[in-house]
Amino acid sequence: MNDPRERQDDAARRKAAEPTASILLEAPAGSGKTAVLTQRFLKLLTTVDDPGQILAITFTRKAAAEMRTRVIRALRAELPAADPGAAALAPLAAAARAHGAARGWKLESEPERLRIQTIDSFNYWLASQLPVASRAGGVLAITENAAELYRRAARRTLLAAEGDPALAPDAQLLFERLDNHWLNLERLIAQMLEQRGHWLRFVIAEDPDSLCRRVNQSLAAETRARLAALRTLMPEPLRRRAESLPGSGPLGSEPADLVHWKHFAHLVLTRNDWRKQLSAHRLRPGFTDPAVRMQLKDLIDDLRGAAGVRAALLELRRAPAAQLEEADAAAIAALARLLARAAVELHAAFAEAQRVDYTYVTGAARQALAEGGEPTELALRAGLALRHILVDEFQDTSLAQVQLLEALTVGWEEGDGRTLFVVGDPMQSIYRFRDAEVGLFLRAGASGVGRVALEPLRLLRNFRAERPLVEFTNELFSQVLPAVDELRAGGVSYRESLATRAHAAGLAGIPPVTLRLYPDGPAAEARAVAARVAELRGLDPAGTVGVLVVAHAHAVAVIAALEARALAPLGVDLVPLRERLVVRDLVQLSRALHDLADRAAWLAVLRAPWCGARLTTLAALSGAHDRELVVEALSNPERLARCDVGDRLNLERVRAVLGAALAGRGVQPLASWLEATWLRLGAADAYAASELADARAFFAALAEQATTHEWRGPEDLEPVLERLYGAPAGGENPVQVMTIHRAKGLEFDHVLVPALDRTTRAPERRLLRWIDLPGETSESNLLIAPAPIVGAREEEGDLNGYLKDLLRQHETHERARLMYVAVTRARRTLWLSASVTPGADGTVKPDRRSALNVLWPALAARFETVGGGDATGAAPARTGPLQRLLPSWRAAEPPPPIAVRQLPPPYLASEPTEFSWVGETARHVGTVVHARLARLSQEPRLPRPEAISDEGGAVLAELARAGVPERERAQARESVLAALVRTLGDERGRWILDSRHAQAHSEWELSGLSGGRLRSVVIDRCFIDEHGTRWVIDYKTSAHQGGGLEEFLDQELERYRAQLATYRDLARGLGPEPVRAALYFPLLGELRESG
Amino acid sequence: MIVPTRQRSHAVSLAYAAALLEGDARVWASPKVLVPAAWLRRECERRAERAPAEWPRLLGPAEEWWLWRQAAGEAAREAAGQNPFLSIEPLAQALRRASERAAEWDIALARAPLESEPGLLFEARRIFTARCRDLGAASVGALIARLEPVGATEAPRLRGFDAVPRALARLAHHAGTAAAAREAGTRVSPRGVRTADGEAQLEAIAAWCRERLRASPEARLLVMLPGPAAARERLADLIGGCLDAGAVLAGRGDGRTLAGIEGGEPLASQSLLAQALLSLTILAGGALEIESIGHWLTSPWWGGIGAAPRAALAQFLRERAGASSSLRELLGALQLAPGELKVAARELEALARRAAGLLGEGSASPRRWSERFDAALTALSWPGTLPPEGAAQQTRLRWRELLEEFGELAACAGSLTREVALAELRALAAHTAYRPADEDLAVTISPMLADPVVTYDGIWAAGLTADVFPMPAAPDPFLPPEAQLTAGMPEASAAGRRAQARSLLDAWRRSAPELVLSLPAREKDLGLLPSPALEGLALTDEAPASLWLPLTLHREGCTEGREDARGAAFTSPAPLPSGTRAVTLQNECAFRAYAELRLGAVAPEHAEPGVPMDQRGLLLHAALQLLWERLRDSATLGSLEEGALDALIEDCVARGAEVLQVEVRGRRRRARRVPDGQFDLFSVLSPALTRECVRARRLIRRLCDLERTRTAFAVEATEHTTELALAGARVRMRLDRVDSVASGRVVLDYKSGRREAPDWYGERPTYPQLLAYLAALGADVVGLATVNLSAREVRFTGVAASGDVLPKVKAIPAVTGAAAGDWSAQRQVWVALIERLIRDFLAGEARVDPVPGACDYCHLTDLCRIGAHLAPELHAVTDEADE
Ligand code: SF4
Repeated sequence: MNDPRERQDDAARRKAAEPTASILLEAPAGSGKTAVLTQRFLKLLTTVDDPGQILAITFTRKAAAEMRTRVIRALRAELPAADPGAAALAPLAAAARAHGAARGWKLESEPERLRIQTIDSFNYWLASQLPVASRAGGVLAITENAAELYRRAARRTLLAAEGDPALAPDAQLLFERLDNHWLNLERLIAQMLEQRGHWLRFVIAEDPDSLCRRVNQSLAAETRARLAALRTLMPEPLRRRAESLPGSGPLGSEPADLVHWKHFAHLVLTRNDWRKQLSAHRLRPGFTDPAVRMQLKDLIDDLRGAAGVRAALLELRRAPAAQLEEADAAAIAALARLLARAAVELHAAFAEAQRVDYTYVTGAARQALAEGGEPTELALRAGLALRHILVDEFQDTSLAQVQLLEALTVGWEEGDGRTLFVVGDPMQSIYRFRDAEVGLFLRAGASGVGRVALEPLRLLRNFRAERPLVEFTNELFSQVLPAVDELRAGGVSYRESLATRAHAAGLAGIPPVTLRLYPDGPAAEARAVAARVAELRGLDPAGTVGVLVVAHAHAVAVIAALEARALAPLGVDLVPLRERLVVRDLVQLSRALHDLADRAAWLAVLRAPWCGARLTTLAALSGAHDRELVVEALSNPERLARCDVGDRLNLERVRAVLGAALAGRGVQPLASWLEATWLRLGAADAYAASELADARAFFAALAEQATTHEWRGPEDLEPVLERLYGAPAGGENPVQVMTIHRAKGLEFDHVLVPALDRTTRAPERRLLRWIDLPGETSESNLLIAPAPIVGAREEEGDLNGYLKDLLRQHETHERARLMYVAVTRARRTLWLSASVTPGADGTVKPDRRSALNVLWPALAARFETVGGGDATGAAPARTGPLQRLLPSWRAAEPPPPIAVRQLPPPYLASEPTEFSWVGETARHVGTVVHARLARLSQEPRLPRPEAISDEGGAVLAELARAGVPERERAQARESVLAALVRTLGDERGRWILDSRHAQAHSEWELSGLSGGRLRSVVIDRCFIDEHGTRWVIDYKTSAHQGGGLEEFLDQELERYRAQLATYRDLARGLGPEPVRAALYFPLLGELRESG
Repeated sequence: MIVPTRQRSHAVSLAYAAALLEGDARVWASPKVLVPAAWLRRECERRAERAPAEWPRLLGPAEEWWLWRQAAGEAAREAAGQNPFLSIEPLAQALRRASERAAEWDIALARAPLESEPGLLFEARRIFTARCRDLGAASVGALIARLEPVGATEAPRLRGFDAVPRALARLAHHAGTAAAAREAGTRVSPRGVRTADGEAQLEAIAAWCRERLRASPEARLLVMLPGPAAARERLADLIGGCLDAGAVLAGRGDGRTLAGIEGGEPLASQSLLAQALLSLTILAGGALEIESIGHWLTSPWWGGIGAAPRAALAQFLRERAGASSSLRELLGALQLAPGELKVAARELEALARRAAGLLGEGSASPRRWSERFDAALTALSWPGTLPPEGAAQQTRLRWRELLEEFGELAACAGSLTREVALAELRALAAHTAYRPADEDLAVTISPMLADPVVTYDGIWAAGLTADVFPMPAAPDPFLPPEAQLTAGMPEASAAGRRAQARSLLDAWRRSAPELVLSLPAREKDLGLLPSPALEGLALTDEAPASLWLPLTLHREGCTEGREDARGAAFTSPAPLPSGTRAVTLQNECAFRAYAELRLGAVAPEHAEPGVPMDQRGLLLHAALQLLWERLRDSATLGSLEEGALDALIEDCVARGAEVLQVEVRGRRRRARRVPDGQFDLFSVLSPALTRECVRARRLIRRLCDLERTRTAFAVEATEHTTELALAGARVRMRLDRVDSVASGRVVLDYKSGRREAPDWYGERPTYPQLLAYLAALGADVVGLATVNLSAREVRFTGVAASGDVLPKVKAIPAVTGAAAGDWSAQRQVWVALIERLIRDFLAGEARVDPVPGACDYCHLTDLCRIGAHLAPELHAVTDEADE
């Protein structure tokens, strides 16, 4: 081990696995980070009383699952012998097992005790374990589709602003800036709500101007830092000379000095370079004197020699003022007020929907840990409970996440044995779109996280790639990534790796690195990629192959080409299905069924392959300003007669199916209903089998949306379609096609990265542009600029333009890192390609937003241009647009059903077909009378009616228990007593209640078969009388005033006839006795038998 | 018998019925299979019957729910201070659940700081108890402590509990707290199955169900599938489809009579009830977004007015009503319904007015509101005619029960305003879990991993991954953790969960002669670990063939391709529909022209808040028309003082806005006049329109500044309509403006959208309507241009015979050397092109052949099936959106 870097690497590895120090570990791709993490985790297990004292955080479910699996496998001694880390882990795992056994834990079979989780799930856990501190209240349901809630909140905000004098001027100001475009502003506010993690903390402060103050502070800090850096670049003698020029001022580092610096920059620079022409008329007044001009010339000559000054001055010219412009400040203040209101509206929308987004959960977790910036008692408790925290992929942390870590470690003291271990690779920071900020990693190295200082360590060895690839990577990225870390621009310098794997032979004709350009278009490139994969399969059948693309859409051509060569690709969430015809047909079918007036949807349904109606037919069924809807026209014989004869059968069939579907709408679950309808239309035969798989994905996604109760109508199809991807199934050792983001953490023997020329969707215009630059301390430098006024020209020094540039730089740096991630997935061979069209002069100019653009300066000369080529797998010829089921088509004969034997169906309809509201008290009277009659029927001797009046007190108590309000109780008591007295005074009443009857029951709960249905009933009274007849009697406590008693009783009997019939029917099953059924009216002393 | 859940109680009752029917019984005493809460309630009632004066009234379920909400709200307000809780509803539920748990597990609550979880629970329960006392009532939970154990002979049997709550064990004479593990019976050895992913797991389960039922049609199977509800829905369909495909194809039910899902959904999410609640909201005068009003009208739950007229009314309202409307505004908009919809509109209005009248306003007791809600819905014809039996009928019955329950709030809620009553009813419906009762299912799909209680012929427990089984510990955050551990609550700790998992596994093994335990190997690209409870079980990898009905029924070669690029010819003597738009569309895409203008497949219109794009254009048109009617020529424009010009513009815009106000409610503006009664709605300019006027003034002023740079001109006509006979058709056109200049006439067309880089000389020029105007006006036209009016720019974009006709408008490229000759030749080319387009339109030519970019904003992609033509690639946007 002669190379000192190897020794350095060893030392870092040893130190990183030691569980005593807090560490920031830089672990480049292939450096064996997972092994170090696992070792440390296992060692930590031997130091704690409870495994729950160790928390390992990752950012993706996949990473958490992988780390957990690895730790568990190590603990269970299940790591394959071939695993390079297995030998080192075995003794550590044994020690951890022994330590656990001594304390009563057995992690190998109790893996749930390991706290290895994603930051989201940790936040969720915190928020739900602390519902009061987090203000979450109860169980939080998270929506995947918060866009609708953002939109709703944004609309309510603007509507409220129209009528609220306090907000109206703010809304007015923004409308003016945005050309009075309501939907645009609404959309932008909704977008801001989605991103509220960045600004909410500033606008919920009481002072609406605090956001501006915050931005001004940041601008001042930025200015200071920039000027200080310039002063370092420009030695004092030069500065003095500059200050002595006419019109100049002090070139200090205070914000107020910026104006002098800018003046100076304009003086010495033209657009892109040092000023050469120093004629008086080009310069400002004061330079008429040739001596002064000579002074300037000398100064410029001397400045040429000062490294970095030109670039810094050029950049300075575009730098914003150290203080917000008045108009911008006014717009930001207005926005702050409006956004504060929008946040309140969003809170209300969440409460209404009983659903929240992840940002809410993160906020709630933070809230639980820190109230008003101070750690809550819980934060201190949590911190005490946790002794060690490990964070993987730290380069992808966001500010909010770092703040969470700070809150968790707030009570930690130096030397108390608790450790924080953060590991990552800043060169692999590629999640800006999820708010990751690589500057946080860089800052943590310098100043730790919160109060915890971290010792920076770096791994150097690469165990993954063979030597030629490591060398290529070192060479390429030392040019592509910046020379030094650039915190402001989000740039990370390259960290070289040491190769450890020699180049293995056996891939004749395939070099370690292939760089190709295809001028014949993406299809030619895709075919070449497929050809290379086929070649690799032949030479290295066991080798894994990954085709990595920047965005999903870029994989489409490659997948088609691979499939054409029968190379069975495997992809996850890869192929967007929203534009597939089979899916589009389903979208239109669901629209049509939802809205009979949606003419375009109905026509599309008739044009879909299950019907395939001709244009002439469509014209017969639908016209401009048609008074009939298409669904009506389909039933109009006169219009049908005008349809193409060849279409009529299909139209009939479609009409019948859709008619039945409409009749059953709203009863079945949405996806099931739609699927059944689609199937009945003939879809199974109308599409190719591969298309059916796409439809299946659609139904699954639709069911998912509907079962979360987030379905209102077809407008909610959008989020369904957005998440709709096909997944090519693959086979044995399939070619894995995926985005580079998804490939992070994976490795392949052979990696192909095609479509480098392609660009991704540009970020949308925003209401605010912002950037949260990590400051020297924990607070960030937040720069915000409101959206520029529509139609206004951008000017130099304009904050918005400056931020735009800055964000662009961040993007470019991240694109370079994305390429680093892609390239470093390879173990043996790498392929990079693009399809480009050279310009008239034969040169290639990659698109600024493409990955090729970042590689171009380093690789332009090395790319080989390949024209023509193999046409295997060329895109199939286009088919005609209109497909339809053959006229002879008949639905397939379904397989015979399985004759499942079931119980008779239960009776499920409402009993009385009419619904009448009896007064609340009357209902309670009925309940008490029923209960009392049931009790009386158990008395060996029935009391006389007079004796019942003594029961008044008890009846009152029962009525009170039943919930009769006090003021109505006396009256109710009288009713109850009257019913009892009347019954006991009535011979038939006494006969009914007689306990001496055979097989007597009261309030009898019976089940059985009646009318072929399973029924369950409660029979008030049932017995066999002295003549051997079984009676079933139902009490009705209805009262009747006025005349027509007989009529009333007949009506009641009629009303309950069906019910009595059921009772009678069931009672017949009780024995051979004849059965009679009747109603008894205790308040009236009347018995009515049902015939 | 006491079982832990209603689902198990239902299962036991069904099993009991099956056993008795097997023995030829026809009727039997209903088995008493209760869940703990029902049993405790019954015990309280029994005690109270004996000594009614000593036992308080038991709260009804709705009352208890309501009182907890009140208590939680009050306690939370105190605790939260400035930083309110997200929502009281889940907090109340959590507090209530915690209080019940404390009672069930004999955990004493102690006072604690209000800001802590136990403190908030203590306070909420104190408030709840005090309210109960005031009402002379109590919850069952509060009375548990007063209950004596039942007599040994009456002791119920406890089944299906992996841990029996202490209080229940004490009262029911149950020995110990863990019930299941010690039960006798044989234990079957489970079979372990692993599938590639979740979908394959569903297929494997379906295949198993089919095989078991094929072998034994009377078999009863239980599938436990935890996780998202959608997977259970898909499984039920999959099984239903493979057991009885014919039923699915014939549209008979959904196979759910064979395979059904246990568990409930919020009552409010049932479509029938959602419609009832939405109706009440509208009747109560709440303003709703127009999409919601559309859903309301197109819902299936109406009687009276047919579905088609309702759909047409909904469409009409989308075009004519505001982006959000109240009932009053809707009724106003209905007055404007066109002739063919008048009857339906009147009918709807009558229903709504009567229903709103019956709903009434002011304050009333919950019972009274229940009655009014019911009456109003009936008057509105909700829910139409339902089949006498079935899920909808059951749901309707459950709605009435809900109204009953809501009515029972009378004692505790007092008098409520209409809005509060409705909000509370909505909350109650959202809180109430419901699922229509199932028939006897061959396959029961349960979301819970639970003791089946009854014996099945086969049990399949699916999704047994390490993070699902044992279930993760979930201690109640409102109860002290130590107390939960001491009480032995299984959910409180990982150890409790492990014991629970063991107990469940044991219960499954003795509840069926066949037990399958399965898990998917992956979820997308996430590898899934098997549950540690499956340790030692060999997992067989299964990859069953798909049973999904569309795939099993699929046959190749059933379709044919059809060439169909020409539709019916336009033979009407009437002018071309939509005038020059027919030419424009025919030029952009023949299919689109046919679909929009011949088939009526126009773009759906949606009411927008603010001033929609089309109306912004209208305002500019109207104001410019007024302006030029007054100015007439460049000389007058040039002579006006700045102030006077501004004043004139202001006046023209204000009058333009008035015109817009009258027409603002719809795009078919020229055909409609607003009845007098509607004017009051618009008497004051909305803030949005006021802002739009400012914008219009600014743009017109910029245009005037530009016009001042022109050579002398006079405005000959504005908004001029004319008709032209061309290629055998009558073409109506409306010219925004025609100017006369020294060399001839110039045709101008206002455009308020983004400017395109126009193509004038290609086969498919960008502005064919301008060329049509040229054809109409004759040979003296020397310039054609759009006038772009947007905040980004105000400019002329056009083509002219010479370079001095309009600012920045170049002369046509020289071909002959003589400008006039070039222009005249080009004119002929243009006229020929327009004639060809018209002939194509008349012939019904409808090729799917869009000019580049035409599809970007076209609503007909699914009708023209352009997807069949496109390469299967997404467009990647390259330009920066705000550049
Ligand atoms: S989507 Fe394109 S091809 Fe289809 S009708 Fe519209 S413009 Fe024509």
